Amino acid sequence: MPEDVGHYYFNNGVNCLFEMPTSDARRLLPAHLQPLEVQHERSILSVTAFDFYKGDGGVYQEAVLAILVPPRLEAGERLPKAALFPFLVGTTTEPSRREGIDRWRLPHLMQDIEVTFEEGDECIDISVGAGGDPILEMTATSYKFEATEMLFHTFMSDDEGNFVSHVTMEGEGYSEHEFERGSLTLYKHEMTKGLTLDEVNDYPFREQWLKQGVEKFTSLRSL
Amino acid sequence: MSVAKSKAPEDRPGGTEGDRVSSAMQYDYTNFYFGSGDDAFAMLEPFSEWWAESHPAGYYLYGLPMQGAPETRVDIRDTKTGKILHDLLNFASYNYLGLSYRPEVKEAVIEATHLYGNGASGSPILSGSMEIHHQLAERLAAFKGKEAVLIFPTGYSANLGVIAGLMRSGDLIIADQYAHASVVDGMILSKANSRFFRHNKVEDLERKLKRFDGKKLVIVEGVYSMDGDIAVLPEIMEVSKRYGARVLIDEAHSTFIYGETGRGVAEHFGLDDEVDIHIGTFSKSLGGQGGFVAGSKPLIDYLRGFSRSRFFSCGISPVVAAGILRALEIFEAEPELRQRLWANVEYMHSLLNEGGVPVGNSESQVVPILVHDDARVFEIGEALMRDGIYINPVQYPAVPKHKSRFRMSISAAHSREELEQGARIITRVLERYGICPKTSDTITSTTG
Repeated sequence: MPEDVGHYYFNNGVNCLFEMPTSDARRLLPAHLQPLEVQHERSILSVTAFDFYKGDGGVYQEAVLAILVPPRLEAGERLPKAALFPFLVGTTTEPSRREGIDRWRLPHLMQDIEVTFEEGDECIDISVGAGGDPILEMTATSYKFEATEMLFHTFMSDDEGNFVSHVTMEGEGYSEHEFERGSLTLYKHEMTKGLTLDEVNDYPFREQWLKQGVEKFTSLRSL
Repeated sequence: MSVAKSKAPEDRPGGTEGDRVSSAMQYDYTNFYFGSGDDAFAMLEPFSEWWAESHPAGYYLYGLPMQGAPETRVDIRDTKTGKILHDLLNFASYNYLGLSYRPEVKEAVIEATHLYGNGASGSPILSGSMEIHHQLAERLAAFKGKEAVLIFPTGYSANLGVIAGLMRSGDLIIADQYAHASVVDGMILSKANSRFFRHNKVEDLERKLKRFDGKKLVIVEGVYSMDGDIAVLPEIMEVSKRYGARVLIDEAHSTFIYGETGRGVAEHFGLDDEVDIHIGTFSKSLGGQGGFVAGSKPLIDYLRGFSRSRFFSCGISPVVAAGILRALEIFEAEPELRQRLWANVEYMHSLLNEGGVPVGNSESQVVPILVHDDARVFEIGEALMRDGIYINPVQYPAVPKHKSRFRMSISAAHSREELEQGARIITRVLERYGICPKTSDTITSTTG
């Protein structure tokens, strides 16, 4: 297992998974990755929002749009919970954007976004916008919060090649369920232009919420 | 075990065998479905490592060898211990009307064996069609009130053959999200555009229907096999017809049970003539094997020519066909069978309700015993088996996370004493696991 080299501490990390057309997913993925399908012709859009309070990128908020893909399983290696390819990341600060692009080769929206987190009774509302234009609104609901430590494979791709990092998410309070209680509204925007908005389900089939957590990246490995 | 290497107890002071096993149970089949790499066997080694630990930890509860007919009490071989468990109350079999082992059915099977031998020895469109197959199809069409019926080797192949036989690339198929795997596989095979609407949510169905011009097929089930609830068929029919869609209903769990004459949920709602395609199976209420489609003569004639899952399979065994035909005759002659089933369904629901056992929205003979605890569903399953109940666990990914359950099948053959005993055991075990309140002592009995 490679050593962790990037650390990002957050108050809330909220992720919901939505069905989306496989045709869109294929278009958003590089040629060496295939989308997972939750149903025939229905792949998985992952929408994640973080509010980081310290770490390598400083204090900022982030929204990540990603497609779920198969992990790279190796005999003898720990099995990841999931694998994903972030196809567009938005952040609220220039330094965090540069960190994401230069260090992790993640494609970014090249303007600051605004992200708000509003925690309610067993739910959290997230709004993402940029320059006064809405990008998305997402509500996630909770189940039981328990301590967790999960491994993900995160794939990146740019002009210089294809890469993977093992990303570990740890936290004291993690809730996950598939009760389909959350919601998603996507707006037409540069950040969502790769998606056929009408064809993305407006309810998640899985809702995940991690409180007081840390996201740890291993060094990029070339594929 | 490599799949959970970093969490293995040997890496931690005080790790136990229980810890090691539970780490394997953090994973499930979904973790081994996809994998990167160039070798088609790349998944086998990680899967084998996982299976070696997860099978004895709970997955062994599936497919335990039954020692006789699927009666209301059965002997089961526990493959973990090798011991035969005697006289378990059987709430796992689909034998809803208790017809699979009726003496008259057995006699019909024996007679057919003498006449036809064992197999059909050919495709039904070539040499594998015998007189008994034609008799069964005609009798079934009459029962369903349809012009014609086509028989398939299994219920799975019926959905596959009908959906892929009818729909083409560029068409649209919209199925309820809880539709059976055979429906999904039929959709894939057809190459049509596939969509799924939220379970029983007609507004979502309409949202998806109205965006599409062209041939459309909507697919629902009569009774949903994991939840025991039924399709909201009147609303689904209204929306589907408004948008020019044909409707297929899979009545695998509802034919011979719902409706005035037992034709199914479509009849129950008075929509038998409005639904375009009726699918059913012989393996549930009639206690045999195989599937069928019923509909208009033009539909059946067309499907006879285009249902590849049928004509590239051997016809169902004439022996099985004879047993099904006799079971159908018994069903029609003994309406009290359905009455007894419904009385049992009502009684078991009331017993479980009295015990505080969560059963979701079930209103049928399929009753999900919801335990919600994915990590302990197998442990609870073992406890139920030890206490005398044979019932199958259902866990993620067959159902969503935290919606693990036991799928109970109620039969007309169950006696009231068996239902009461079953409810008492289930309630007592679930109480031990904190799933239902301490009420088992209060379960009343009308049979003393």
